[in-house]
Amino acid sequence: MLLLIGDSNLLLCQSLLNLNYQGDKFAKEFDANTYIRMTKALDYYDPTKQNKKRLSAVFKKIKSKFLVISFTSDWRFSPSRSKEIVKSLLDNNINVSYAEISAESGHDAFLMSNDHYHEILNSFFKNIFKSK
Amino acid sequence: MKKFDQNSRYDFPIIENWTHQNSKVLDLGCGDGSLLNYLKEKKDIKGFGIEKNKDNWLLSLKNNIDVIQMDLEAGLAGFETNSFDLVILSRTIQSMNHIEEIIHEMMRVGKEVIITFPNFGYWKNRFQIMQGNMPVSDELPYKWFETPNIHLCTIQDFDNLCRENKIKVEQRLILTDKKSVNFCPNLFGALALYKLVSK
Repeated sequence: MLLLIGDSNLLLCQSLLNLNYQGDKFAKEFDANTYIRMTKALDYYDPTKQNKKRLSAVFKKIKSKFLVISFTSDWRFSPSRSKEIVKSLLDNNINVSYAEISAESGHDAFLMSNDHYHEILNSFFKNIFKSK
Repeated sequence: MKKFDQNSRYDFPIIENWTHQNSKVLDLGCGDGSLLNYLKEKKDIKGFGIEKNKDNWLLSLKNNIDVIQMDLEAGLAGFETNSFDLVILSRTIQSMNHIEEIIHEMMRVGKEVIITFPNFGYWKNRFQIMQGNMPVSDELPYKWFETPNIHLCTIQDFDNLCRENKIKVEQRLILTDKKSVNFCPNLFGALALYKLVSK
C-alpha cells in the first residue's frame, strides 16, 4: 500500500488507477493478438510502396471527392502529414477540402464532442446527398 | 474577416472578364466562396479556395466550394509552381502582414494573378481624414478599432511596388460606384483591380 501525503501524490495515484481501469477495459473488449496485428498493419501501411517517388502518382486514378480533417493535437496523424495528402490530391486536380481543428485531446480528439467538427461532417454529407 | 453584401460584388464581372473559360483558379481568402461560385457559373472554372477563418471556411464548404484551411502568411508551400491558371487575392491584401512574399508566391503558383484592393487615396477617404476621422466606406467598412486592415495603400503605392519588384501589370481597372475611372484614378477611384502576369 502507498502512504499518500499531499495532493500531487493523490493525483498520481488517481491517474494510475485510471490507467489500470482503462487497461482492464481494453483487455476485456479487444483480443490482444488482434490488437497487435491491427496496430502493425497500421504502422506498416505505406501507400507509396509501389511508387516510392511520389504520393501524387499514387492518387492519379482517384475520382472521388475528399474531405481531409486534422486535429492540431494529434501526434499519430499530424496535420503536416494530412497536408501532404492534400497537396498530392491538389496535384491531381482532385476535389478536396481541408480543415485543421484546434484540439487538446491528442489523437483521441476525433472521438470527442466538437460542434465545429460535427457541423463540417454534417455539411459535407449534406452536399453529397444534394448532388445525388 | 470580410463583410459580405450585394454591394461588394460589383467587381465580380471584371474578374470574370479576366478569367479564361475552364481555367483552374485559386482564390486566396475566399470568404464564403461567392466569387468562386460566380466564376464556376459564368466560366465553368475548376476552383479551389483558401480560408483561414473557421466560420468562413465552413460557409465555403456549405456553398459547395473545395476549400483548404490554412494561413496565407505562411506562403503557398503546399502548391506546385505554375499549378494554377489564375490566383486571385480579392480585397484581402490590405489585411496581410507579408505583402511582397504573398505576391511572389501568387506569381509562382499562378500563370496569371488578380489582386484587388480599396484605394486609400480615393478623395472620399482623404476628405474623411481631413475632417479628422479614419475613413469608413463601402470599400472600407470597418471602424478603426475593429479593422483587420493593417496595410492600406493607394494606387500610386501599388504601382510603385510592382515597378520595384519588376512585376508586369497586364491590365488595370479602377472603379467607383460600379463605373470605370480614367481621370486621375488615384484621387477618384474607390476600388483598384490589377491583373499581373509572371514574366
